[in-house]
Amino acid sequence: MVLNLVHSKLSHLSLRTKAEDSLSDVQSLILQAQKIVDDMMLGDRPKPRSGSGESFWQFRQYESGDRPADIDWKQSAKTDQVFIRQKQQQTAQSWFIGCDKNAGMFFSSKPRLRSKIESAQIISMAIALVASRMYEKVGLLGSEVSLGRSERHIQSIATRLLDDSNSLYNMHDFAMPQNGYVFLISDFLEPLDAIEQKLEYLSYKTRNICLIQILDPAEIELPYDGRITFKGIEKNQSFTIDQVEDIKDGYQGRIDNHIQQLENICMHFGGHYIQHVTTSKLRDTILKTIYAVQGAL
Amino acid sequence: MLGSIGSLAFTYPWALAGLAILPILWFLLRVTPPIPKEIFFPAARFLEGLISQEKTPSKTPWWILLLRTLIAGLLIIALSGPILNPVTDDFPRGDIRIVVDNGWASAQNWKNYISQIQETLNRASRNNRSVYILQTTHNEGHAQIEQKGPMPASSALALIKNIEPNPWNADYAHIYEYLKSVNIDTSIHTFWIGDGLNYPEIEKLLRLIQSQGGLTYFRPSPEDFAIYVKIADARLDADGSSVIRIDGPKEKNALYPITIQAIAKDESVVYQRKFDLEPDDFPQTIALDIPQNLPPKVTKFRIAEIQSAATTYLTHTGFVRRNVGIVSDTVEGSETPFIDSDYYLQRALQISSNVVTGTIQDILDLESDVIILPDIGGMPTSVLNDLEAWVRNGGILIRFAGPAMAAASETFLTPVRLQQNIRSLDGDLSWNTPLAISKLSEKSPFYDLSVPDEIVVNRQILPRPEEDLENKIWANLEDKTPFVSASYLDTGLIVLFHTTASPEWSNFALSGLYVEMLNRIIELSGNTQSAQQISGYLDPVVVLDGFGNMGNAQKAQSIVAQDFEDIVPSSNNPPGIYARAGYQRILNLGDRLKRPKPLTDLPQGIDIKTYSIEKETDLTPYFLALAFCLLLLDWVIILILSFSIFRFAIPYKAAIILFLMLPVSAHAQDIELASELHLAYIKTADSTINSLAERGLNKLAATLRQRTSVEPVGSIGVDIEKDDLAFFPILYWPIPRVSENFSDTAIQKIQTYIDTGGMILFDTLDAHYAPQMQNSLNMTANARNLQGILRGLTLPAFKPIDQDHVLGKSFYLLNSFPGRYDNGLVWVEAVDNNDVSSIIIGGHDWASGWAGDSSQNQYQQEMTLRFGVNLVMYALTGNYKADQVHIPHILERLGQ
Repeated sequence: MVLNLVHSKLSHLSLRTKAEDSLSDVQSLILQAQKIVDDMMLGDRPKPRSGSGESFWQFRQYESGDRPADIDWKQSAKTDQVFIRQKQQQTAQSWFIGCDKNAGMFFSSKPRLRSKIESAQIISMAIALVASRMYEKVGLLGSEVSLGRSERHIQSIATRLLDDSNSLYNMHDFAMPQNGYVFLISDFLEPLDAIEQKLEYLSYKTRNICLIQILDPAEIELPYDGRITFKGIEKNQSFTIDQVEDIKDGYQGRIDNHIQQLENICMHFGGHYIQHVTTSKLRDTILKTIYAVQGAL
Repeated sequence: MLGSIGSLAFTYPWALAGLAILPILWFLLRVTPPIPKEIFFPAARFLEGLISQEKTPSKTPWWILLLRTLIAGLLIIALSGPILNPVTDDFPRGDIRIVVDNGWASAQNWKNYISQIQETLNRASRNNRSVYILQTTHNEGHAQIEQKGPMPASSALALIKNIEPNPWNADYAHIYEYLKSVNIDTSIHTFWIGDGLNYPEIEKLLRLIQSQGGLTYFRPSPEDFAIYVKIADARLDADGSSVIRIDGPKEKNALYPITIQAIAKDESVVYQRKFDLEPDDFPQTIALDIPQNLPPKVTKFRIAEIQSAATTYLTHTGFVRRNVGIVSDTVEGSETPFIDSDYYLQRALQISSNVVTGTIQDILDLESDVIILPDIGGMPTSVLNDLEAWVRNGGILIRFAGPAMAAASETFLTPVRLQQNIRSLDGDLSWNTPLAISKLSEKSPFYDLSVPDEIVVNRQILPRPEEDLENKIWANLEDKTPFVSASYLDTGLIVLFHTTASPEWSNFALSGLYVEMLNRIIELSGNTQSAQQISGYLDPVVVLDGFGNMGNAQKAQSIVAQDFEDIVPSSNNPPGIYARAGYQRILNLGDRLKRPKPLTDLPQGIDIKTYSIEKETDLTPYFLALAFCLLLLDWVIILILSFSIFRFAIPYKAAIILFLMLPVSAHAQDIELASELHLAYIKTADSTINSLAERGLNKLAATLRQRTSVEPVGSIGVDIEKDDLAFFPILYWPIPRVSENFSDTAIQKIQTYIDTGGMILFDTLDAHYAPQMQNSLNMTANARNLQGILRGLTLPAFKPIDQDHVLGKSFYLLNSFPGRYDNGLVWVEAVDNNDVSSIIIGGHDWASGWAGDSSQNQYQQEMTLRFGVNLVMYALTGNYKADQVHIPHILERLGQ
C-alpha cells in the first residue's frame, strides 16, 4: 500500500527531474567546490601518485630503475641533473549507493510531508548524478552491482531505485574495488549492534563510508497527544501509551542517544555521518555529502 | 402533534422483553475502555517500556453509558411498534354503509366529515369490505336520493369527493321511505356522518338503519354545532345602522370571537366587526355601525371564520356584472369627450358592468345583456331587424332621446310612439321653466330611489297620446309628462329616457340618479322567460352553494310570488336571489331556518362518537429517529474525546456533524412538496380570497395538466410567516383591502425567494378601479397594501408590460392578460427581455377568473386560463421562448 503511494508520487522521469532540480541548484555549488579542489590540487593533492594518465604530474630526479625513455631531456638540460617527466594517474573511483527500503522508510507523519523513502531515493539519485559528472563510476548496492557513468546507466539506477523491491542495503554480495566510496542511506533505527556489524564488514573493504540518516521530524520530536497505540515495523510490535505527551521527553532522550551513538560508530570506522530530516532542504544534504566526499578524496 | 397523549399500544409487545437486557448492556459497556487511535510509527522500538504518568480513564463515563443504554432502549421500544391512539374497536362484519348528512349544517364541519369518512373508508379498505354511500339531501333540482353501491372502498373515496354540502335541510322522511323500499339481504353496518341536530323524522330513520345491521353515529362536539345568520331588518337603514342576529342550538358551548364582514359587489370587505359568540344569548343580536356611505355598496354579510350558506346573508342584488353594449359611432380618443353620450354612459356603468362600445352590429355579435342606444335616429333595416329579434329574445334595450331621434322620420323600437319635435323648456321663446322629476312609478324598478331636487330637464321628446300610456311610464316630470317610459316586447324590454344621455338636454346625466337608474334597469336582465308569463313567478337568478359561494342557477325552480314568504330553501329552491322584471327577492337560509335542537336521545344500541382529530399514529419512526439522533450525539462525543490531538478542530468538526444532522429534521410534508409541483398562493386574512385562490389555482392546475406537459398536483396555501417558500416556482399573492402587517423575517424571506429565482404574481384585485387610478393620490387600499409589502424589498423599477414580453408568448400568443377584469395594466420588472421578471403586478383578480366566476363570459375565462398557462410556463422556462421569435431568422441563416 505504502509502496504504491510512493510509486504514484515518483515515476522514473519525475524522480530524475526532481534529482535534476535539486542538482540545478547544486550545480554551481559543485563547480565552486571543484574549483576549490582544483586550487587545493597545487598543494594538497587528493591523488598524490603518478600514473599512466595523459596530463603532466611532476618532474622527478632520475633514479635507478626508471626507464630512460621517461627522461625529459629539455628539463634536464636546464640544470645539471637528469629529470624524468611523471604523468598523473587517472583511475576512476567507484561510488556505491545503498538505499534502504525497510517498511519504516515509507513513513511520513503528515500527508503532505515527503516520506523518508522518497527523500532517500532523491538523495541517492543526486549522488549518482554528481558521480557521473565527476567522471566517477557509480552503482547501487544490491544483488547485481554494476558500475558505470553513462547516461543509460544513470537511467537504470533510477529504475532500480524505484522498482527493486529487495533491499539495496545489502553489502555481502559485491566485490568492492580498493578505495571505493560507499553511501548508506537509511533511517538507521535498527539496533546499533546490527549497524556496527555491517560497518565493520564494510570497513575491511574501504574506509570511505558515508552514512546518511533520513528521519521524519515526528521520529525526533514525537509530536502526539492522548491515547495512542504505536505500531512498529515488526509484526505484533505495538505499544499503547495513555498520555503520549507525558513520555515525550523520555522518547527524545532515547532517540538522541541513538543518533549520538550512531555517529560515534560511524566516526570509529572513519566514515562520515550526515543527518537528513525530511522537512529540511535536500540540497543542503547533498552539498554536505559532496563536501564529505571531496574531503575524503 | 403529541399534544394530547392518548392511549399507547404496542404491535409486538413481546419485543419489550428486550428491555431486560439493558442492565447486561450497561455492564458490557462499562468494561470496554475507549479505543485508542492507531498510528504506524517506525521508531516504535524506542517507546518500549515508556509509561505515562497520567492514565486515560479506562472506563466510559457514566453519562455516555446512560446515553448508549437509552439508545438501546429506544431501539427496543421502536421494534415493539408503539401506536398512539390505537383504534381498538373491531370493525363490524359484512358490508358497510356511509350516510353523509350533507344538509345546511354540514358545510361548517365539512373537513371533519371528510376526514372521518376517509378514515372509515381506509379501515373498510384494509378489511376488504364493500361500501354503500348515501347522502341525506337532494341535490339541486333532483327529486330522488339514491344509495350508491356496493363498491370497493377506493371507488367510494372517489365518489365521496363528489358529495358536497347543500344549503337546505336533509329529507329524512324521503330516505326512510326509500330505504324501506330497497331490499337488502345481508346486514349492513352503517356509519352515519351526522350534523348532530334533531329533526322530526330522524328518529324513525335511525331505528330503521339500526335494524338493518347496526349504526355508528358520528356527531360534532357541541362547540362545533352549526350556527346561522339573519338580519333583523332586511334592508340596511339609510343611516347605516343594521342589526344582525346569530342563532343556533343553545347547547353550543362555545365562547369564541367571530368576525362579521360586510362585502361589497367586488367581493371586497368594506366593514367588519369582531364580537364574541355567546350561545346562551341565542338568538344573539349584534348592532353594526356601518359608515354612512357604505350601505348601498354592501351586497352581503358573512361570518369570516365560517364558510357556509347559513352564515352568508345576501342583502343586495346588484353584484352581478352584466355585459352592456353602448352603441357609439364616435371615434376613440375624441377631442371633445364631454359632449359624447357614450362618455357619460361608460363612466356611469364601468364600475358595475362589463362595458363594450361599438357599432350595433358589433354589439349584437357579442353576447350583451343590455344594449344602450344613445340618440340614434335611424339604422339600416337589416340591422334594425336583428336588433328587434334580439330584444324579442329577452334583451334589454335602453334608449335615450336627442336631436337625432327627433329629426328621424319615423320612430322604431320605442316603448311609446313619439312626437317628432323637441319640447324646449328653457328656450328664449318658451314660457316654461325647466322641470324637475316628480315621481318614480312604484311599479318600476326605481320604486325606492330618491330624486335630488337639483335635477332639471330642459328639453324632452313627448309621446303621442295612446292607450295604456300611464302603465308604460316609469318616471314623470312635474307636469306629468313622461321622463322614462318602458314596455315589454315579447320577452324583452325597451326603456326610453325622454332626454339625452349627455348633459345636453338635462343635468340628469351628471347626477347619481343617472347611475342608479341605469343600474336598476341593467339588473333586470337575465330572464329568458316572457315578461308576461313571469309576472306571477320569481325566477332564480343567483343561488348559493353549501359554502355560501354564489353561482348561476341551473336546476333551481321558480317560486310563485305570493308563496315566497313561506318557502323554506330546498333542492328546488336553493337560497339565493329570485327576481322578475323590476322585482327581486332574496331567499336567505338564515331567515327560514328554525332553531335546531341537538340530537340527544338516540335509540339504545347506537354507537355514538364525536369527530376528533385523534388518529392512530405509528410512533415507530419517531422512536427510531430519536435513537438515531442520540447515536449521532454519541458519535460527536466520542470524536471530541478520542481526537483530542485535533483539539483545535473540534468546533469545526462538530459544526459539520451538526450540519449533517439537520436534514434528519426535515418534515415529511417538505418531501411531498419538493417531489411534486404545487401552485402556491399566499394565505391572506380573508378566507374568501383564500378559497377563491385555491379554487382558481386548482382549475389552473387542471388546465395545465390537460394542455401542457407541466403537471402540477394542485394548489397549496402558504403562510408567509411560517412556511418555506423554496418549494414553489411561482407564488400567487392576492392583496386584500384589509391591510396586513408582515414581520421582517417574512419580508426577508420574500427577498430571498425573489433573489434565488422565485416568481411572485401580485394581484391587487382592483383593476375595475383602474381608470380612476390615474395618480398615486387615488390609490385603492389594495394598492397601498401592496406598496407596503414592496417597500421592504430591493427591486428594480417596474414598467407596464409591452407587446414583446415573453409572458405574451411563453405558451399561447396573448395580447392582453385578463382575469376577472380585463382593464388595467400589468406591470413587470423593467429589465431587458433577456432577464426574467421575478415580480408581476396586476389587479385583474386572476384567481376569480381561473375559478370561473359567474360574471365572466366564456371567452374571457378561456383567455384568463391561457394567461395562467403562460404565466406558469414563464415561471418554469424563463425567457426561453424569447428566442423562439428569432427562429425564422436563424432558419434563414442556417439555410445559407
